[in-house]
Amino acid sequence: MLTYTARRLLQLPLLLLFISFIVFSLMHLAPGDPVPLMLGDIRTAEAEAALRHELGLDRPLPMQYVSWVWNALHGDLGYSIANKQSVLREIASRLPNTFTLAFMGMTWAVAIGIPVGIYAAVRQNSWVDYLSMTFALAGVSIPNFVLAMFLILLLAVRLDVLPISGGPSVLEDPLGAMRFMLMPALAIGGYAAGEIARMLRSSMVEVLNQDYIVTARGKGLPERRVHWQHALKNALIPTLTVLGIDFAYMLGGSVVLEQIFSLPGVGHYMMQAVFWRDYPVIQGVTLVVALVFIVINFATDIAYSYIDPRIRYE
Amino acid sequence: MTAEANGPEQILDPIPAQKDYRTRRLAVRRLLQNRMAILGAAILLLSILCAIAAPVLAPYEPISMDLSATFSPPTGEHLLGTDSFGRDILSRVIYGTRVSLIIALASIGWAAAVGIPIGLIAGYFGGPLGNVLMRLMDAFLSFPPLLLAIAISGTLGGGQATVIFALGMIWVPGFARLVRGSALSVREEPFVTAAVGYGASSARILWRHIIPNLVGIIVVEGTLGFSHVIISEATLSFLGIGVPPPAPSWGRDLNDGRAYMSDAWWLVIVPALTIIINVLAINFLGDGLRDALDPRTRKGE
Repeated sequence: MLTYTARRLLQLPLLLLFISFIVFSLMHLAPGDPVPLMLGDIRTAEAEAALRHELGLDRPLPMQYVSWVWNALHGDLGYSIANKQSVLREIASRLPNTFTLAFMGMTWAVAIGIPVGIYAAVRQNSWVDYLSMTFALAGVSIPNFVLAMFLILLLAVRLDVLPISGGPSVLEDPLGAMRFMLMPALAIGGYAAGEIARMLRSSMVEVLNQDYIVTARGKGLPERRVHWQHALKNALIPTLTVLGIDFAYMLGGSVVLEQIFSLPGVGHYMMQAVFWRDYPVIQGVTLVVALVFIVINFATDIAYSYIDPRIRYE
Repeated sequence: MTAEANGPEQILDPIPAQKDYRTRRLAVRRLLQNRMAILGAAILLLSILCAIAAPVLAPYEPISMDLSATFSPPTGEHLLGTDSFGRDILSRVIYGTRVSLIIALASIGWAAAVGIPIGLIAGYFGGPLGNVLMRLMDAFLSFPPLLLAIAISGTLGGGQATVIFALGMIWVPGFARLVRGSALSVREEPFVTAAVGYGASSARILWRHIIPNLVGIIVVEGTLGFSHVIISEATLSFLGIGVPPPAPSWGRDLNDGRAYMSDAWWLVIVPALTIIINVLAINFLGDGLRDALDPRTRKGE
């Protein structure tokens, strides 16, 4: 267990280096730099050159890369071009909102997906099974922003029970913020709910056909105990991986929902930056979210190998 | 799919997948028995028809405005209503099919064209090059895919080519990983050992023995990827960093309709349903293909 964790940990720095390289290269795929945009109307050749020098943009690319990585390692992701604020500080104040949104989405996805998956597997090939799996496939197939549109039409426009946009930060007013996040959380969790149900059903069906289940039934255990204690434990393992991946994906999906619902999260920050071509912000958000993504995947893998010791020896 | 038999060595192969003509026919029969898959295929064919015959099928030009007929609800004249510029929604949806399908096809195409060779290099030859390539793929997989697409598309500034580049990019590592894993296991099969034994070249082994065994999983991955790319394209357009206006796009039309949703519901419902129906159809087909090509994942009988 320890060696496995250590081996995985040792791979992280290399992965991070590759990631920073990709992020940096992406930002320099596009021709030109933000200088003309920053100067606006007052631009002259001298002013541009001076600003370029000040920002270090006149240095060779490899040098710029090294200094960007060096600064990032020291907790400095640079300053936003649009409002001159520290990128890292802005991300830090917004990240809790994005996490809350993803967490709320995951909570309802798990609360729906797991019982539906179990029930469908136990009642395999019945109409309950077909109906649940049709709903699960719909959950996987309806894009989160489309689901959001339907929710807005129903809950905000028709019934007028939930607010459409804005809201405080969870850091200021947790309950108030969560009320505003209810609708986006429902929309963001749809995919995970469907996928969890589908995944759990198929692994549960597989497990239920195994010999030890036959044994458990043979020795006269009640069906309920066979399902919940014997089968579920093994069937949950693949679902756990999906859970980790889906949570990480929600961080990407949050960009769209935060944009629709004007939530004060990292995704909204990212979209503003995209419209302003605010490179340090795009670069910083991409890097930080990738980091979070890796940590979640890493934690999932470790949890996975803890639950199923066979994984470690692969 | 390559339909010819692969020579006598396949008899040695224990995996009961699409190896020879007989199992392949079985796979086709299994697919034909899956009603949802057939429904999905039919809807997809209809969409392809819409994309190809858009100028014939669309009653109006998708970008022609009619300021005397703005916000028309669905009527005999405009079957699915008109938008704020008086543009015919049905025509925009039909032409939008063209945009969506072309982008999805091109993205998956280039992702496969890059990802499959990388996977083959890493899985069949291995070595330091394969290793470095796979670590690079791992790094790409460390981004939430949508975020990466937004960052690329946002930096390069929209447009059809940019969207294709960005969306293909996030599927390259998926193909590479999948192909590598399968190539690794197929490489250990007795028929490959036999081919190496009688002196077949690497190119021949790859072409005649490895690749035919990967067709199934590549088709399944490609199909499911197709539906994801359609969603991603719609998302980028919805966010305003996809295909630039006035070209019709399901995602952007949905976003345009958002402002008027309380009065003109059709501006939201029509593009939303179009996206859902297309994605569902492709997922039905993809699930069916997976079940047909890999009997082990089939729903219990």
